[in-house]
Amino acid sequence: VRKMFASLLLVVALSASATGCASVQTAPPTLSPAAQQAFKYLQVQKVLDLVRDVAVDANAQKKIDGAPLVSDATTRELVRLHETAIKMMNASTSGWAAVVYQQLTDIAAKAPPAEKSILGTYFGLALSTLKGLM
Amino acid sequence: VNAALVSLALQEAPAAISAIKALFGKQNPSEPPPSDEQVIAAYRTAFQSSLDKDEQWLASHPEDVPPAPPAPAVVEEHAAAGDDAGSVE
Repeated sequence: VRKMFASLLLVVALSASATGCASVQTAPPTLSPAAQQAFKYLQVQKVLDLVRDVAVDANAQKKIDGAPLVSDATTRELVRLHETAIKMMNASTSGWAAVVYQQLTDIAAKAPPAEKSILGTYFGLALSTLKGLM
Repeated sequence: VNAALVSLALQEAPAAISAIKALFGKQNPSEPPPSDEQVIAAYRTAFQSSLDKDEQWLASHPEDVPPAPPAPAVVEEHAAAGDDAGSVE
């Protein structure tokens, strides 16, 4: 299982790093502009949800000493950023991707090494997706 | 820690696969393309349920509020007025 998961993460990391930025799946051309935008936003939101969900689930997992794998503080920052990000995206706020990119970079930079080892790949995926929108 | 990490990996694998498919997947040409209404409804539902999840987590993990600073001591009027009733003449 660990091997499978490691391979999966490797694929994500290689795909993202190979292109420098990940672009979301192209919307079917038959859709109206509004639906194309909704399609794109849905793909981006799935990636942002993934980062939030991993942090929340890791926060619920406890180590032997009873401490969570990812602290409440880091999880809270990620949940708040996720909330802000999807609200800004939904409102089509100008420059939202750059703002979220910067904030996520800051959270990733100050996360303790043990948390970075859990969340790092997901940070990378989200950052490369956001970069593709800037 | 390893057991917790494996458990986390198992929990997250379906979501990770779904996100990767969403990013890099191609639509099967035999599938009919989704309609405008379907796409917009799917987005709205996902947006609202995701926001709800954020709010639920934040509500169940309130931030530790530092204790309020002590109220300023009430200065007694006579002291403020320079009343030195306690002094011995």
